[in-house]
This record gives sequence, C-alpha cells and structure tokens, in this order.
Amino acid sequence: MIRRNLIQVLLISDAPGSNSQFRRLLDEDTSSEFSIESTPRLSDALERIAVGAVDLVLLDLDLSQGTGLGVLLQLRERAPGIPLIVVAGVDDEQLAVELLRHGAQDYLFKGALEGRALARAVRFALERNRTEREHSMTLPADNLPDCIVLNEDQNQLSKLTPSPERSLKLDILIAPPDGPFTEVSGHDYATNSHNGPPGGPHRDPSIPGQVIQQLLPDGSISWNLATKSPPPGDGGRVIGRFRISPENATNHHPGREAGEMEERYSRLLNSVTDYVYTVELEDGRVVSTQHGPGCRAITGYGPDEFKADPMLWNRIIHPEDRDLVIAKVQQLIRSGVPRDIEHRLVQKSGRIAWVRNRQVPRYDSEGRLTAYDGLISDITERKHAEELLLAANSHLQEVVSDLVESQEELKAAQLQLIQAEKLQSVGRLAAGMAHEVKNPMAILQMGIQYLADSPSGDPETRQVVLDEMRAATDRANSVIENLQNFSSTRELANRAASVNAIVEDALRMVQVDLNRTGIAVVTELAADLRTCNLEPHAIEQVLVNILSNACHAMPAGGTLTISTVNRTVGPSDVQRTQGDRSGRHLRAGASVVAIEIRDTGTGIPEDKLPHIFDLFFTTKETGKGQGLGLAVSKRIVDLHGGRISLANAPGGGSVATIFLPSNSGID
Amino acid sequence: MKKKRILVVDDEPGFTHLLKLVLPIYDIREENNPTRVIEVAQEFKPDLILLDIIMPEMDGGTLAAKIREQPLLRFVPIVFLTAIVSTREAEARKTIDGHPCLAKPVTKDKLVECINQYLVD
Repeated sequence: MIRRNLIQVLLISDAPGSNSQFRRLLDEDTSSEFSIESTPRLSDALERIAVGAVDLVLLDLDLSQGTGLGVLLQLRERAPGIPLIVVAGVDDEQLAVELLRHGAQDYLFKGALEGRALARAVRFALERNRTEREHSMTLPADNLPDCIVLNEDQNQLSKLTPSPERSLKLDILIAPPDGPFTEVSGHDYATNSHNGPPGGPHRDPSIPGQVIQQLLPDGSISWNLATKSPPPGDGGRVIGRFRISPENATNHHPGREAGEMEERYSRLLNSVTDYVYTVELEDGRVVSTQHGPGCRAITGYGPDEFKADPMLWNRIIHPEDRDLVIAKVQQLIRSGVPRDIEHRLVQKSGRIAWVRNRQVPRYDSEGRLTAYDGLISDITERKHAEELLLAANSHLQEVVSDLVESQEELKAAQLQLIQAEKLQSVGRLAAGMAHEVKNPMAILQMGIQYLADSPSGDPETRQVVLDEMRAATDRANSVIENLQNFSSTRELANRAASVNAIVEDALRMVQVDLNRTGIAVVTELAADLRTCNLEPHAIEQVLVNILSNACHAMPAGGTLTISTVNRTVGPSDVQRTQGDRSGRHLRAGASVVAIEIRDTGTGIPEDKLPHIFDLFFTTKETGKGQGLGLAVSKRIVDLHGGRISLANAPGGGSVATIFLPSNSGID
Repeated sequence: MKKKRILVVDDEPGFTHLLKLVLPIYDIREENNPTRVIEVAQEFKPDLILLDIIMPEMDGGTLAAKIREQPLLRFVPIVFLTAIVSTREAEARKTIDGHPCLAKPVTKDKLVECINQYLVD
C-alpha cells in the first residue's frame, strides 16, 4: 500500500550489481522514499509478496534462470494483485505490448533508464494497479440506484449516480475483493453514527467493510465506505465517501439531536421496498444466493430462506417469465452488460408482484465472473398503472377506430346521397323530357293512325290533323334544341353592348302577345346606362322568356314595367333569396346594370318559388311551357357572371331582376 | 248497339281531338280542363274515363280520387294515359293508385284493347 514515505520495491534480477544500480536510480528521486531488495528467484519473490513486504515488483526480463516471460506469467498467476514493471535490455515495442497484455503495469528499456523517470514509473504503476482494483470494488456501488456523489480516496474520482434520497432506502453492499460481502443496512448506519469526530475521512478510524456516518459542520451528512484494502497489511482503508446534503441545510445544522436523524432514517427505511441480492457463481453455475433483508417485503421470503435454498430464487420467478429471466442472465454473463429485466414474482403468499431486476456482473481481479448483483424494485403499482394506461389506450384506439369507421360510413352515406341526388335529377330530367317529348309524339302517333285509317277522308280534317302533327314535331324538336342549348358549354360571343337596345328588341319580339292580351308596357330605361360585355342574342332570349312568362301571368291584361339602371351590388343583393340559386359570380361592390321586369299578374305560388329555375319545372299546361325557359335563362345569366332572381311583388304580381356586370363606359 | 261513352281528359286539345277522330267506335267527350271533369262526367255518364296525369291546375291522380268520391262515378273504370310512365311499365300492367296505365304515345290497337278490357258490359 502506498505510504507516502516508503515504497517497497522488489527487484527480480540475476544481473550482478543490478540492485545497487536501481537503488541509485531511485535515490535520484526525492519525492518518495524507496526500499529495494532483490532476488533472482521467483519463489523468494512470492514469499516476500505473501508477507506483505512488497509494494511493487521490478522484473528483469533478461533473467538467465529462465525466460523472463515465464516468471512474469507465474507472478501474475500466483500474485495477481501485485504491481509489476518489466525492465528489458531490448527496446521492443511489440514485446512491450505483449507484456502489458499479460499484466505488467509498465515496460522500461534499460538503455534509457533515468532516475526520476523510473521513480515516476513506479508511482504510476502503483496508482494504476490501485485504481484498477478500486474500480472492481466500486462496481457494486454502481448497483445502488441513483444519485450518490462518490468521492474516491484522495479525491481522484467523482462518480455520480442518480437520487441520494433513494440510496438511503437501500441496503448497501460493500464488496472487498478479498472478503465476503458485508451488508450494511440502514440500522447499521444508525448504530455507527457519530463514531468519529468531524474532519477529513482519511484520518477517521475506518471499520473494514462498514459504512461510517458523519455529521459535517454545514449540516450535511457524509457517508464513508470503508473496507480492507488488498493486499492485507494496513488494516482498514477508506476507499471513498459519499455525501448526502439535506434539502435545507439550516434544518440540519450540527447539534441536532441524534434521535431526530434516526427517526428520519427509520422513516426512510420503512418505505424501503428495494433490496439487493447477490448470486455467486462458480464456472458459470450458481453456488449461492444472498438476499438483503428487504427481500421479505417483496418476496415474502426471508434472507435465511434464500440462503438455505439456492434454487428458491429461481422458483419464485413467475413461470411465464422464467425463460426470459434465465435468458437475460445468460446474456449478462456472456456480455457483461448490465440490463434491467421486468418480470413477475410469485410471493410466498401466492400473490403476484412485478419487479424490476437490475443485474450487474462482478469479476475478480483475473477478469473471471464470480457473481452478479441484482437490485430488486417492486414495480407492481407502476405495472398496474401501466396496464390501466394500456387498457385506456386500447380503449381510446377503439374509440378512434370507431370514429374513423363512422366517418367512413358517413362519407359512404354522403356519396350515396349525392348519388341518389344525381339519380333524382336524372329522374326529374327524364320525367320532364318524357312529358315534353312524348306528348307531341302521342299526337303524331294518333295523326298517323288517322291518316292510315282514312286515306280518303275529309280534306279539311286531314289538314287540321297534318297541322297538329307539324306543331307536335316542332314542339318535340324545340325541347331537344333547348336542352342542347342549355347543356352546351359554348363560349359566349361577348361584346360591349347596350342593354337598353336589347330590352327594346325583346319587347318587339313579344309585341304580338302583349297586344293580344291588352297589356300596357311602361319602360324606365336609364339614359346613362353603362354598357355590358354580353352576347346580345342570348340576353334577348332571357328577356323574351321572362316577358312571355309575364304575358302568361296576365291573361286578362295588366301592366308590364321594364326598368334598367346602373347599380352597385349591395350586401343584401348577394344574400340568396328563395328561388334564387345564382349570384355566385357577383360580389358586393361590383358595378352592374340591373334590369327589372314587373308584372301585375297572378304571381308565383310560394311553394313553387324554390323550383322555378329547375329544368322542366313548369306550372303551365302541356304544350305551353316546357319548364325550360327559366332554367335556360338562369344558365345564360350565370354564364355572363350575372344574377337572376324572381319574387312576388308586395302589391301582387311578380318581379324578375337581372344583374349583369357592367363596363365603366356609358352607353 | 249503343256506343260506349268515353270521357277523355287531357290538357292538350290537339291530342283529344285526334283521339276522337281515330276512335269513332266510341262516343268520345273531350275535356281539356281538369277542374270541370266532375261536372262534365256527372252529366255525360261515361262508361270509362281516360285520364292524363300531368296537367296544370290539377293532376290526374288527384282528379281520379275526386271522381271516386262521387257516388255516381264510383264504379266508372279509370285508365291513365300519360307520358310519365314508360311503355315497358305500362305493359307490365303498372297501376297508379290502383288504376291501369297506358303510356303515351299509344297505338290505336293497344288503346282499344285496353278500353275494351275495362269496359263493363
């Protein structure tokens, strides 16, 4: 062991004068004191090592007694813990690597030896050796969950593991490589508390394999892990300390009564559910298991029961999880990589508990797996919560998939509705067509029959029949023509034109009807009317349709008023009114020419208003209306980006309003 | 033998006129205004009524129901002669409100066959 003042070096060499040569070299260094003894024999060396008189071996590879390598291998096998430096007369890097692989701490070339460098090599070799051992010792401390700050001796390393509070709840295992595990429970902390004066841990009396608690001046608690250090000889050594600071240091200033601290720990300990177990192996076989006291809370079995029956642990693993656990353990043994297993245990009572089992392998200084430690945490509640969550989640997924399904059903239903709507329109169209075409055909059929029956009938009657047939043919033809016009998507031959002129042309077209029924016509055509981009013939057709309807609505005469005016589309104009399905193209603020045609006729029955623009919708007797006029008119106005609406006038009669987008120029 | 009386109701005078010309074997009365049918029928006492369906003011179905409400006309056979049923539907002996149908356009032979079938001796 390092004592600052003296490092005991054993030189294995049969070269004459080598002892004094090395002594001289080491004496050049003043920071350490070295004692050096030498022997050419391996057996002597092993003897000295066994009694603890050697801190480090210097091995001369150029031994004449045998190959230096053979001595090295034997030393490593029989005194594995001792630091060893090889000195050789050849400067061979490949050999050096080989020797380091076989356990030498360093390789020095005799030809370049220099005093301070040798001393430094010795100190480094000792340090490296010690660090390697301590690494294997502190490994079990890594099992401890969670946030312990561990300062290794001489403050050389700090390790952080997660959650100091939780660590207090645990049984702590300290594993000196040369002794059995000692379990230090929380109760031991209490009994060991205050057994040293505050101060640096190095000067405290260390109890091998124990934990010492200290209250530090700032109110925090320092825990010292003390153990025997290999090789034996110096007694106890503090290998490290970890420190737990209170949440609020002022609540834990020095002078607090010990009882209060104990209460705090026992409170923590009472909530302990985690515990540590160790499985010792020989040649990969389980020879014993040791379970910490906490095992009773989780498994229902006590440590003694586990000790008495090495296979008990295996048996209490839930049968369905056993293969998994065994496979994971084998994986751990092969790979050495710690991992968590979550599995079920059958408690002594028969109750099933879920545990998290974190396993860490432990190796001896030869790198052989000697045991593994496991930390068992009860996660039953968490598992139940998870199961609930899973159930909730799958329920949610069901709900979601139900929703998706209903949405798809809705979509399908909507499609069916659209399809049905289409069929309905087709049906309406077919019925309209049937009525408008088959009636003239019925006349033709009867006419043919008559002509066939009476080839030499009354010439006057024959003439009447032929006239009927001609009219019927025209009607049937016009239905088809109108329908063709209606459905054609031909481009309009638009040009800037005067609406007033078109109104006058349209009036001339219906002049005969107007005169016959004695209808008075009033025109209020704006003189400053703007022009519109339109196809005059198409707009004339629209106006003629509406004027004809007005004539039909006033069979006993009345007044027809036609007005044109420049307008700006207002918000209320854009709102759809009953019987108006256009207006899609017009926005509020647009400039239009408004044409209004008002009659004093019968008006439109309210229940018919929603259908007046429908194809083949008519209130007129067969032959007088095809139900095409308004449908075609609306279509034409739509094509012009305008709007047509029909309503009953408050004072009786009906009023048709047509908006056509206007140009800035005045007619 | 006295000619059977047929009342033909259709809003199209051209058609009823031609029907009368083609069917001199019956005593045919034309009526183009459905609202006057009840009155005319009570006076004319037809052996059968040929009824159009799509007419302004009153459709054939409504008119048939009104005719059936009249005690004197309750048992007069009614045959619809309409463009709204197809020839195939008519041949499949489609009925509307329990009355047989004939599809427009119809041949004289079919019309006579149908009328004779429903005429009650």
